Amino acid sequence: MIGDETRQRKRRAFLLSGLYAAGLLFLALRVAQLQVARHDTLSALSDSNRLRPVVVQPVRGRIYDRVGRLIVDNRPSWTVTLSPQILTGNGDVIERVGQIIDSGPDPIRERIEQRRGHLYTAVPIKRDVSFDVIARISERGPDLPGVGVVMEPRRRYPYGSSAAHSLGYLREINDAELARSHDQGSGYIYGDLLGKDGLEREYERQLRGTKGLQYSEVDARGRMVGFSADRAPVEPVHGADLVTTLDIELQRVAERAFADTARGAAVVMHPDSGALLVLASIPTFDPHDFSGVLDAAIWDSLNSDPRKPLLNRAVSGLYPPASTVKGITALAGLSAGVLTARTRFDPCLPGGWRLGNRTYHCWNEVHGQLTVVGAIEQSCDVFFYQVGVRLGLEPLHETARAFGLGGATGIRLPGEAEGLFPDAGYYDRIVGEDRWVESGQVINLAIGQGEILATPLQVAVMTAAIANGGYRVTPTLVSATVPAGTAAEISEPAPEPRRIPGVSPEDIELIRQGLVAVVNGENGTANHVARYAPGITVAGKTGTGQNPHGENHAWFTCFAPAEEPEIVVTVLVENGGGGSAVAGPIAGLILQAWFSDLRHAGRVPAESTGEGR
Amino acid sequence: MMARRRFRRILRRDFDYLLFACVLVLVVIGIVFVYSATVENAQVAAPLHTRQLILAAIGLVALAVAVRLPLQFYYSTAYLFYGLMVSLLIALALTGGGEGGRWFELAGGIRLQPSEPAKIFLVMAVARYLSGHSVTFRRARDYLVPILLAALPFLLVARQPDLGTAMIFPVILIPMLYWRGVPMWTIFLICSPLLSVVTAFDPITWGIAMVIIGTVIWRKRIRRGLGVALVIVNVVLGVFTPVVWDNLHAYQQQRIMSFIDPGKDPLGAGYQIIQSTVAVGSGGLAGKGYLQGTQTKLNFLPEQHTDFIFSVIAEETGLIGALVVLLLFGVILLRALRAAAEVKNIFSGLVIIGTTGIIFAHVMVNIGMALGLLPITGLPLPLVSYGGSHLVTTLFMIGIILSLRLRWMEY
Repeated sequence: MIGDETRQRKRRAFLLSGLYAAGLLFLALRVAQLQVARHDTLSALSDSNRLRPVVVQPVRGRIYDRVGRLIVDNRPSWTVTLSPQILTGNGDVIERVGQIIDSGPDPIRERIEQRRGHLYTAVPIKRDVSFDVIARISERGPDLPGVGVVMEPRRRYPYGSSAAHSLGYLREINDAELARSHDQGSGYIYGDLLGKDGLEREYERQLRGTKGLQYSEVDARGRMVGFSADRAPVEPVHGADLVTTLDIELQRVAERAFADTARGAAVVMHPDSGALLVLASIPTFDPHDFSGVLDAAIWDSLNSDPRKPLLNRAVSGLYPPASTVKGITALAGLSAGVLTARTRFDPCLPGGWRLGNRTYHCWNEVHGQLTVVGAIEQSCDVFFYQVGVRLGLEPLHETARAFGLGGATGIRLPGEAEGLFPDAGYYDRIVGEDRWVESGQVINLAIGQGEILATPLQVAVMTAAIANGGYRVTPTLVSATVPAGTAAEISEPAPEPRRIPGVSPEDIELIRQGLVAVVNGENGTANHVARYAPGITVAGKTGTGQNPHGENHAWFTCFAPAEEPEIVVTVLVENGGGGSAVAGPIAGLILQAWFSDLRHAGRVPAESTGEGR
Repeated sequence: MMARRRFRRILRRDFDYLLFACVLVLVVIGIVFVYSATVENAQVAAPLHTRQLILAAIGLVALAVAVRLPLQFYYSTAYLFYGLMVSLLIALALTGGGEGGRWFELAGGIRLQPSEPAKIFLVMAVARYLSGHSVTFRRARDYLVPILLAALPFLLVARQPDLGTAMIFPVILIPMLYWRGVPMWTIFLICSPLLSVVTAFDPITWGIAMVIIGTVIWRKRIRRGLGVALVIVNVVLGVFTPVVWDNLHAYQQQRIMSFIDPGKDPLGAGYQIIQSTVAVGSGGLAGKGYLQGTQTKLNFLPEQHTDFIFSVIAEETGLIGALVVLLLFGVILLRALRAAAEVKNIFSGLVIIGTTGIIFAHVMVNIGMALGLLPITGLPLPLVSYGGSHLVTTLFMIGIILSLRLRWMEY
């Protein structure tokens, strides 16, 4: 009986031992499964737990002018960031950090809410903060889980607002751009700055560089503990520098030549290559305002300013080119044979010129009977009415298009306006088929009025074609890119100038004579401009664009020296009045600066940063 | 004088030094890894590892006292201490206790958690009852008395609310009943209501469980009345469990739910389970090194010095350290079971089986939780987890096992 009891106990103890041992063995197998079979996966999870990739923004490419002056630079700045993950449970962090960076909690929360899906990507909440703010953030570090401070290069413009429209500006990426970037795999993340206008936008791909990565170690509350020692950072790669064709000093001369309240544009271009020395739009703006999270008040005031400072008038502003096109009308007439060097039409008389039952007046009361050179010199409307009527719409349209009117010039800048030079199809569409009379329209177009619209840049291209003997150039702003870490410039291939067909050198020579007479002739409409460039023969044409909404637009476009043109200068003053009186002197100051001084400017040493203003 | 010398001789001959050594090693491991788990959070006035060291010293004194106490003492005081323990739990329920309702807050910030010693006293009381010669399991009360003894502390602790600890009380009965000769299938039928509860949410699984329970009732020729009663109980539980579920505390529901699908809410309750398995798995074969566990150091592990101390060990010492811990527990459990087989006194055997069952259940539930196999119940890892009441209680229990083994010849 006793022995039986003992055997029973031993049996039960044995069974329980087996059971307990099996339980522990089961746990051991599970440990082995986790630590051996799933080790790699779980290790990666452990790393992703504690390691947050922190994007290191690359230094954006710098921008130089044609002689090596630094016109867009970078400086270090500090940006406060916030990890969206802290929204779970640590909501009052937003209030605390808001107090430090001087912002209410709602705008911050709004920014974070947009990024809720990206738990671990820190969102910039305030850019370019002072050292004082950084000090306060690091002091209160333990109270501010998820808050970080990163160094970001910020744009600096040593010449201030000069050439702001051409250079463009940076703004934060928006949702649409972010979606596109995602599709194209171009690697932008929320909060990135990218070029929104001008060269900054057009050359974004070259300028931006490649982001680096740093692995920061964080604890469970998202507080950064330090940088990881066992995961090497990926160094960012600087963006490529741009070498532009601009002459920043000449650009400043051009901008200062305008009156303080004026609106307008100035273009200075090399007539053979299309290289732009000046591309100015007045009024300009301060691109520094944009290089962070843009202050809404500044943005509103820029947008609602009736002078439209953000509009790049040189490439996006559309104006009737007025008498500046008369050279083209004359060339079309000469090419078509309706006109020779000696042709004189009906005289320009005080009563005007009658066609059918309508009378067309000249801007000046009486010019008498002129040849083509004299008609250009004195800008006689009546002469060009008759060229137009004899020529007809189609040949005039074709010539104007060949010289660059009514179509994009092809400059690599965003937002270029195409302008308009109407043809028969246009009037059929707008006025209605058979409801317009060709001669009535062509009379206006021949003197650059009516529906015709052109940008100052188009007028410059047109002028260049006369200066260079009949070649259509494509205006360019960038001559070379310099990849980071090298000194080698990679030339940006400028499009080859194209010979404009059907235009003979003799005809162009005739027009050139007329344009020389404008500035140098006794009756020239702009003969006061000659004194700005002593010893240099300037050839030019004035224009006064009729504007039914207000003051006339003032034009002056010219090239010099007439014998061997070096530069084309085109000036437009919006609502300026008469071209000769208003636009002429501005062009004169540009010519003066160029020929007296800047044409001789040598290459500045590579490291010079240019004088700030 | 004579008695002391005789005791020394017995101590030399029959003291289980191997078991005791394993216990000491585990306690040291506990202190070492409580240090690792809490060294970063230095804001506590007295560092937790120092407190654990002091508590281990107190526990070892308790162990020594337990070894000294004679078998007769345990037997004769079993009901007394059970009564005291139940009174304490009632008092705690009435006063509300400290934060969380689980402790008495004593002077000097010391917390006393009565549910810990309650486990021992339940074992004593049940052992005393079951060791009675009249217990033959032919009468219903032979089952009902132990069940009622366990039900009282279960209900009192469950309403604190501490469901995890409360579950231990009924679980203790299983090995003890088996040890006293109750067949496995009977224990299965006693546990069958639990099976009904667990399976109640899925009609098909529940149906299968019902078929199994019915088959056992039929094959083992249970008395008709008892069989019908069992079927009714199971059916009622199967139907009403979903109703009870709706009345559980939200955090209790959440814990159970997050166990079923931890990935569903990675930053919520499932977070703890995920982070714990990540900690264990990332440890690999040899671990990240002592004090090098990133999951631990960066606080990704929740409750790392109490509930998840095993994860800390596994992360920092890898498979090797984890297996050492499991091996130590294995040695302790098997040595204790061997002692249970050796002791001649029925009460002694039952006490050893009961206490061993407590330790085994804690190890399984705690490590199972750390490995993502079981829901988070808040049960500590015996001897290793930070926590004074539990450490002292467990060392006292080990002392009882050692003591009863010493007195294996006594009837």
